[in-house]
Amino acid sequence: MKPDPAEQFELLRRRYAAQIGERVAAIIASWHHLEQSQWEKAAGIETRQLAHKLAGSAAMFGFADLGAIAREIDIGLKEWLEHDQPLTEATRHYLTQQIAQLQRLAAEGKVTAILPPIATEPAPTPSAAMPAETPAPPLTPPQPVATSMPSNPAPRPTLPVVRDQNGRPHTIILVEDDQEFGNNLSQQLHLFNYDVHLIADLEGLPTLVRALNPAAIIMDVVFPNGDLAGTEAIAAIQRERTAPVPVIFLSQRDDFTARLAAVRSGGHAYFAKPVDAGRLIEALDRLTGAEENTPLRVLIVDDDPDFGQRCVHSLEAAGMYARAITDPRETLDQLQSFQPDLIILDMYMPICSGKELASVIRQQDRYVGMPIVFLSAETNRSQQQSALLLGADDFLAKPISPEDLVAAIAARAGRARYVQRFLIRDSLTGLLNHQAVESELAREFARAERLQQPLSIAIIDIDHFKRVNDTYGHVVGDQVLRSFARLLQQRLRKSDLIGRHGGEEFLVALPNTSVIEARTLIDTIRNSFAALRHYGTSGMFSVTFSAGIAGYPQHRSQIGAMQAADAALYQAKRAGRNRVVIDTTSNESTASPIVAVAEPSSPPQPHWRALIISANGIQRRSMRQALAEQGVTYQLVNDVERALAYDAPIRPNLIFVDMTQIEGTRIPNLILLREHFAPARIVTIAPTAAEPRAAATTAFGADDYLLIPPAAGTLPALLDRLSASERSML
Amino acid sequence: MPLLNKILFVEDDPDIQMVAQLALEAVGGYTVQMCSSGAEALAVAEQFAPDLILLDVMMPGMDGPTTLAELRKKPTLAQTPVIFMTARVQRHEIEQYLALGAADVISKPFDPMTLSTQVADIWKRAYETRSR
Repeated sequence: MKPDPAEQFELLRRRYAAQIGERVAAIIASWHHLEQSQWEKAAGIETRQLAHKLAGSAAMFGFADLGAIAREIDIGLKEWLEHDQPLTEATRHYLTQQIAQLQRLAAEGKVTAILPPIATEPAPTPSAAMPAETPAPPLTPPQPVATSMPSNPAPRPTLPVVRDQNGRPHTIILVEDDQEFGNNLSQQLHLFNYDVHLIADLEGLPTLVRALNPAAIIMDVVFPNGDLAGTEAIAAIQRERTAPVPVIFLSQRDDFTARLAAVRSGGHAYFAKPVDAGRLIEALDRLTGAEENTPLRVLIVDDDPDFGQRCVHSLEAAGMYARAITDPRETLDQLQSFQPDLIILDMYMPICSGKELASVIRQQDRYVGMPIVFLSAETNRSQQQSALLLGADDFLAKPISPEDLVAAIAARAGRARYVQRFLIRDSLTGLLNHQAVESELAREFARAERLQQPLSIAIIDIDHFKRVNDTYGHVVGDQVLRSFARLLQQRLRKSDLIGRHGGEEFLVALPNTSVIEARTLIDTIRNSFAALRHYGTSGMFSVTFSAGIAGYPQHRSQIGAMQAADAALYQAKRAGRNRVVIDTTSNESTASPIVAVAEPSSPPQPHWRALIISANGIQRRSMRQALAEQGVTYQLVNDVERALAYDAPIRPNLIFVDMTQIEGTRIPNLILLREHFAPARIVTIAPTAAEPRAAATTAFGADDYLLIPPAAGTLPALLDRLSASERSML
Repeated sequence: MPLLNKILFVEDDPDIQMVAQLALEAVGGYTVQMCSSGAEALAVAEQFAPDLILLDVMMPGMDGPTTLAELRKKPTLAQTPVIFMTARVQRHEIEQYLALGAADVISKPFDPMTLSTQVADIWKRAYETRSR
């Protein structure tokens, strides 16, 4: 049987880890030698080589911190050694700091303690396969569907959005001696955007906690050195801290003694193995405050401004948002702008009574559920009852102590919000429910149209979900749905709409996102979800989903876009599931596609569709890159002959042709292109050295020329020139 | 599209060599020939006849770009796609490498579990670009 590559990597990594202390020591020693030698070049070269080697390999084996420092040393020495630039005082100082940093890490034992797993998040697209900061040139040509897309989609870099929604990912320390389980769990947590440091034993944990200040610690309770070693270690760490760090215990044991020890040591949650990642993430979200927990909002209507202000003070001191108004006529406006969870009304006011105001509020459908509390000196029982009959929810008697006010309001507003949540949220997943998502979607559509921004809708359906329910039961099936909901919430922005459309179908709406960008985004989520492991009665399993995407402006109505996304989903299912399909049906209306976020001052650009005619690899690459940057769609052919035979559904209106194919004896080619593609613009592309010859082609019918590689700004300038002459011809 | 099978891997760091060998052979299923220097690569490349070459940019002795130029002089290797491997660099540096005729640039350190997919993607693109 072939050995498992992952195991082999693990072996290599351990071997590397065993030597890394020596490597670091060698760099430090070499640096001292360099200093003592009065900056002899040979010593510099040796230091740089050692640093360079460490920089190249350290992160690959899980020592990213060390690798980054080594890289700094490598780069710092580069100018001196390669270009003979003398080492400045500042550079030396900086390098000394880096060396000190290396020394510190070595002394802290970090070089042996931290072994974060190699990130193995599936990387299907080239952009995701590269580290986020790597300025990888856009190499993938847009898919054919791109020809029907509006140009210049509003910028939405895919990866940063995925990572950015809550700022930095939370750091978690996972203490687990079972390497395989630990690696598996880190990967799962990684999918939910947690940054996990895995360590195998308790040694060094206190140092690591101080250094990383993690959002939580996940800890296996049973270690070889003492049955409850984990709980003891945590108790020691918690004693050191002013604010306890949230701790989740994992254990093989599910007995009372172990659970009690965990609670006493300051643990916040306890999971018996096998651990379901979904449930663990729910606990983590709760403990790390990733869950939404916004203050309750209370509106007070009372003609006595002093009393109103006192209420505001008391409520805000208790962590609520409160606003007081004295004129009841402002009430409806305030309900709309302030969006309170609860409203407090004075019973007797000069303009209208509280009872009347309550009736006015209740007459509007959207405020039928708004809790109304009367606050008044009214002690007449029948008066109170008549107020309640008119739609008030409660009656509080003045005078009222601040404590009583806060207690009464907090309980009622909290419950009201909870009920409201049930009305618009799906109880299983916490996502918007069917009705809520549809009404929100209508709003997003209107917004997209008003702002002339793209909007993408994805309908997502879990593949073979019935099989999951049939095989593992509904409890497990529900957990799969919850995990998926969590994943969506983690990966999408706050401004994106996420709803459970019913059963195993979900709907996602992404404002200011083109369908192409949406596909990339949903596809990364698809990969993560497929990598997620769920726990069933008969072992682990994974689940996939299919998605269909459609959007505005390709579709001008919500219903049209929904139907198109649905049809695309159907295609995805038919094509074998576990995939994302973009709707390719054409615009339902003839209105021109919008060009999103055009510079207000720049002239409107025609929608360029380019054809590049060149067999020269460098030219093709430069052109592809430059055109992609400008959001211009393009096709490539090798030579003029093929260009003339090229049968595009939408004809190109901009031809870039290699100069060598249209000059000298080949000038007839230029004329053929002109006639064949008229009224398209023809631009000669040529290397900088050949500028005079390239310029000469304009005398034979080329509209312009472009030198390769195009310097920054030359292609946009060329496009501006071309569109300006286009307009002057009209 | 011709199948990608033989890969020539040129890299002076033995640690990276070992990981890459695993990543490309065990995970990717390719046939890999390791070389520790540009000179070694020039000596074995024609006989090994690789479908694709992965070339470290910074090596002692002959560096990556020089090795590439030398490889290109051999008629049987003039068209072989070459991928440069280098540490995170500036965009203009990457463009320089591409202008030298590299099919792409892979940044080091690479992820061993996805290296072969990355290489396969570049191979596919290089072929598609050529045949279009």
